[in-house]
Amino acid sequence: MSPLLQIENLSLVYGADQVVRDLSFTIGRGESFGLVGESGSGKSSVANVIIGDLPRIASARGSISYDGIDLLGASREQLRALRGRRIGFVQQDPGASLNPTMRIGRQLLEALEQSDAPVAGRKERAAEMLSRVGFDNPGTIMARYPHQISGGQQQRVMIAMALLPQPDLILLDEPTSGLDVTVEAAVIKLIAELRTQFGTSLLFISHNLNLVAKACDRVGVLYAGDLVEEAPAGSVFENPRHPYTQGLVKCLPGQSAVLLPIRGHVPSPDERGPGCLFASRCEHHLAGLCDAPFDAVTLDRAHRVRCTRLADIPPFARQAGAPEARSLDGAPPAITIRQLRKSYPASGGDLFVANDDIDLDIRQGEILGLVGESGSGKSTLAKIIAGFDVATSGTIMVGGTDIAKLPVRKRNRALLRQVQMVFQNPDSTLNPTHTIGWALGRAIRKLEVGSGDLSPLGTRVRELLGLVALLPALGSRKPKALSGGQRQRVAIARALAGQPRLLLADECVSALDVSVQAAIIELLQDIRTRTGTAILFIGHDLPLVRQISDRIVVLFRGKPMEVGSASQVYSLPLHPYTEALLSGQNDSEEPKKTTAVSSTQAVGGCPYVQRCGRVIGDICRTHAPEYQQAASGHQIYCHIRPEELLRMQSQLGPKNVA
Amino acid sequence: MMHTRDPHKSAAAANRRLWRHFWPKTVSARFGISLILFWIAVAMLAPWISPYPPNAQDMDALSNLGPSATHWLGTDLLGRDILSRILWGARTTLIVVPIATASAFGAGTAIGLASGYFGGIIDRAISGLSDIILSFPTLILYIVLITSIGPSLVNIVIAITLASAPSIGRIVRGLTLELRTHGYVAAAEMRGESVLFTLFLEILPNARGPLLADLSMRAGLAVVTVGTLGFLGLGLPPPDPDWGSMVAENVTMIPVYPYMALFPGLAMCSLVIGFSMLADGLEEDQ
Amino acid sequence: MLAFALRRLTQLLVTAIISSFLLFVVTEFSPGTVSRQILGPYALPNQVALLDQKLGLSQSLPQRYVNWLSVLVGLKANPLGDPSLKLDLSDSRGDRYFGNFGYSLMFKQPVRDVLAGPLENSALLGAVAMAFIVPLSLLIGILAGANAGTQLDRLLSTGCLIVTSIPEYAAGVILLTIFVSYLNWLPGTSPLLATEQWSIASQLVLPAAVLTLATVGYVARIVRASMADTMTKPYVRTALLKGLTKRRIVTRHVIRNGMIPPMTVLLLQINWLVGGVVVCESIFAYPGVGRLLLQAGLFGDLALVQTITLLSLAIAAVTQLLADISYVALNPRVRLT
Repeated sequence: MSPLLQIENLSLVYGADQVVRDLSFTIGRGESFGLVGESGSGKSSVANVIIGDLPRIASARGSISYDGIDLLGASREQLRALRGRRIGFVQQDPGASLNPTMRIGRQLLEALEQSDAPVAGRKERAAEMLSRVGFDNPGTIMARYPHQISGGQQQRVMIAMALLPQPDLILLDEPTSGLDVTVEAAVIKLIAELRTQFGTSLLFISHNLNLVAKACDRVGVLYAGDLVEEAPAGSVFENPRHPYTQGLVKCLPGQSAVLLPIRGHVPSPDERGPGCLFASRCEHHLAGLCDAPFDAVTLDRAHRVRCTRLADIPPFARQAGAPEARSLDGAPPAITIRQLRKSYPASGGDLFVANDDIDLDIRQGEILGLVGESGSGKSTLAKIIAGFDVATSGTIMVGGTDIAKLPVRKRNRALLRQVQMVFQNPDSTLNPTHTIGWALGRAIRKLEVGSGDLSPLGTRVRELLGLVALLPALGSRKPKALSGGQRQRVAIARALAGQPRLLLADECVSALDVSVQAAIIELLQDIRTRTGTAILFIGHDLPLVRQISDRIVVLFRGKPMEVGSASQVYSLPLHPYTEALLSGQNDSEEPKKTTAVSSTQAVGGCPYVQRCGRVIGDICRTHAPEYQQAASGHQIYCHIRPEELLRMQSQLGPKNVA
Repeated sequence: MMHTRDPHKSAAAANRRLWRHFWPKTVSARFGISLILFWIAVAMLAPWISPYPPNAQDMDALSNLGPSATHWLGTDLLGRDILSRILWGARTTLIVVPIATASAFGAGTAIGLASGYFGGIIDRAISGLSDIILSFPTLILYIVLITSIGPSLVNIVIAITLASAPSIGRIVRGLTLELRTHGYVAAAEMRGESVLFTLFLEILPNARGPLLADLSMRAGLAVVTVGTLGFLGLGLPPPDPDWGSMVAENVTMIPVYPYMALFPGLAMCSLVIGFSMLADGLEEDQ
Repeated sequence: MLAFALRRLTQLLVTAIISSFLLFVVTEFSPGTVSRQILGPYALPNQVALLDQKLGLSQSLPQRYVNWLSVLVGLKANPLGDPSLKLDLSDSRGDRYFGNFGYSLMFKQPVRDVLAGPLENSALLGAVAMAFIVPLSLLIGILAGANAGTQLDRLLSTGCLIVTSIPEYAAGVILLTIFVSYLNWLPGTSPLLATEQWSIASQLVLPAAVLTLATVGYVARIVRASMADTMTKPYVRTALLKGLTKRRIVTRHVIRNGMIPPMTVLLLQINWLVGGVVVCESIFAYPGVGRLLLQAGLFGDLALVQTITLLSLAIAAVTQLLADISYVALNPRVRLT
């Protein structure tokens, strides 16, 4: 039987820029294919060209055949007839993909409008589809507007909408971006089930190799518009052959003991030559041979690699062991947090507690990881330490001063020097008006020298750039000319100007591609070693946080659930919430983030009780737990004894939530 | 990508860059700025290029008022040359408009920055007062103000400032609210920069795109306002020519001598279109 | 809902008081007092002072504002109406009633009597203009916005930009030149008195056309911008990916969402029209409130100026309220709190 979708030698050009080059792959009936690539790899363009929705400046060559139909040659009317009915599409950002002024039911029915399904039973069909993607109450959902359901639910609706006309193929373009980790896991599970339940073929496009491998049979790795490797999902991690794929796996937190970033950058369209596009970053690069055009090599039935030196590439060797972590038990604290509490008045007179009696020390020279889902209060904690918000009660002692209620504008220079911050978004962290040198010079002048003597300023700017491994010439550039990773490096250099005691890093790598992310992690570790500054590293991705941290704090609704060394928390998670975070089985379909008011705390129960799979009785609902010592430096906030929790884990495995 | 150190080359390159920086990229903006520059040139050169003094009466022309070889655009009922009066009228407009626009923009930017950056009670007070001023229909506000305080250059500037600063303030406030969430503003606060530094060196420069477009649009509106006030008899006192009052003086003559009101009206339109096109082009540029 | 209504009402009341006070203060700057106006330029200073005393004009500014407000709501009698002053001013409604705006010194009549006719005329003009403005601007805006980036869009957008840039009185002059001077199809003035040559309807054409021209381009551009922005929304792409036709996508998904922002603008245009009629009525000698306001301003008829301005503020408040309500009605995401 011929494959459902067959792409052959597809080249895609936007204006003068080559976006996709000589791309070939097939998707069989009932098969799921994952396409992975970092930003700028052209992965979304592949989905858009299949569905025939490209910008006007685009032109495509090659062939795309869908069930015998030539998609590139199809007329607009032919393409329209295929959309929805034969080829479904799930976009990223479900919140924006649903019409905000139309009820969900009507939007679902619209998907059936073009189909030949009998009009009479359509409503029932839509309801049935909703229950098949995991809704208990399809009728209520259909009567709602999109803003009345959560992000995870919205994406389920989008998937149901794509499934309704029973298409043979569904294209999923980053379907989980913007969703919380725990919700993401549930959506991925649903996607993985689609094939078995509905027999639909999938093209799953993502930047996240882990997710794709979980949901797909085969995986293609896209680099700068080249499909560099195509392999069965299992082989990608076990036996990656292309140097880029090997590098990519080594960048993935949780896959390798030490993150090994890929040096260099993705070539921009005008830097791309006829040969291997990865050549500029490849350690096996051989001038002449790699720079000329070549064909992909088929290793076995399902494994193809586009590397002309494949025979000389050593097999993939996994870095064994655990990430390096320091034990700094004896070190004096850089910052001491006691009884810290932050509450906001919420609608209905309730208090929304963002931070709830936090006690925490960050030791000198330590990297402390702070993990939690969105709304857990981790950013609020960083904001209070930085002075962009003030605590309701409690203290934060830095060098003998309490800064818990001291807004940043009221802090003197000595205090400002103590705590500096690296922000999340690399696009807005630097002022586009000023040069890099100006930004660093300003930080040096305000935090270090203070005098008008300018001669050492230039030297210091170069020093700081050197500290974050950037060339001095970058000083005269504006942020626009820098890549995201470079901007984040400058932001780190800027924060280091006053030699801070504590560096706050709030999700500072989450907007970066994995290879760049690994490099920033490496840099932060290196800086800690060289300058001795403590780092509070905030993230939502536990494997990533584990990679960099010495100790980890797991936060849930403003309360630390588990505190311990990185290996304790990651390898031996005790608290049910940590366990759920790690196993990715935490199905937290809360109706709406704003309603996540910790009402249970008001009556004194455990904050996690509503989602906990290990509730032992009424005590969980009525009494707040005490911290229990599981091992030296390892604490959990739970009623159940640590030994008991271990026993439960080994016996039953993680339970699903009711 | 090393920078060349040849001084001649870099100076020429800097000039080119400067030119490219200020010369707009879109066709409509170029067209608009050309119109504006044309009228600025006319206003500056009026004493030299206008064929007659603006208030000189040509008694011989009274027998033939229409356009002729001696009076290209004809004369008005008093025998004054229309072309000369239009050329001189450009001066009146192009003196009042920049002053009024600059004043309105200064005030609007100040209240917008304060409102957006500080928030809280300052924001509520400024926004509340702005809303009240904005609830007056603009022209009625002008009529009430000018008839009360009297028509003069200063009063017209005051009136235009009062009427447009609130809406400029609203725009600046919105931009400030957005820009102040950016990491670089937080970084400036964390290194102890003063409020004024943060506002004028970190926030304002990044709002210049939308603000320049708005500035151009406001200048166009100011041209309309000055003309309308002149038309309604609330403009600068005679006898200096002003396009609006030229139209007003001759509007009753239209059935017989349409050109008397038509030409100054068209002059006004071309200048306003210039500002609008520039604003539109600048908006598109971003 | 009730809380929302109450809050809006309080807001409205506070705004009304502050803006009326501001208005009162501004008109206080007028050269010459009411007494000077009544007594004429040759009156002696002590005569003026005496009348000031009788009319309560020598009191402090807040006191005078309270007096004026009391007359307005019918708590006090207007001192000008006192027969002992022999000003020959009388009001058929009595001397104390709600909505007493005082006497127009220009017409020597109660303001309400002066206003009745012109108000009706202006409302007629505004209604006729709106009847053209709304459908025309929606049509142009939706057409251009749904085809954003095409030749048609550029043509319509540039056309609108140019039309918007033309000041009203210039538009008036251009239309007069074409239709009156050259074609002689329409009357040059619109006194709203039917003559043999020109019917009342024909006299409405040019004033309404000027108002329409001055407004349509602006509103259409706002509709276009909102439509074009909506066209790029991911949910519109969702509709495209469902295989819907472009016509369906536009009518079902784009127009409803794209109309939310311009709806407010459209209603607030009524507010603009109120100012716009002043110029328009002056060009065509149209007997409306706008021309009356200008005359009153130039004459220094304080009561008339204040009343007309207050009226325009009331219209502004009502349209603002309507705009808010329509926003809520169109947008299910907004809840009244």
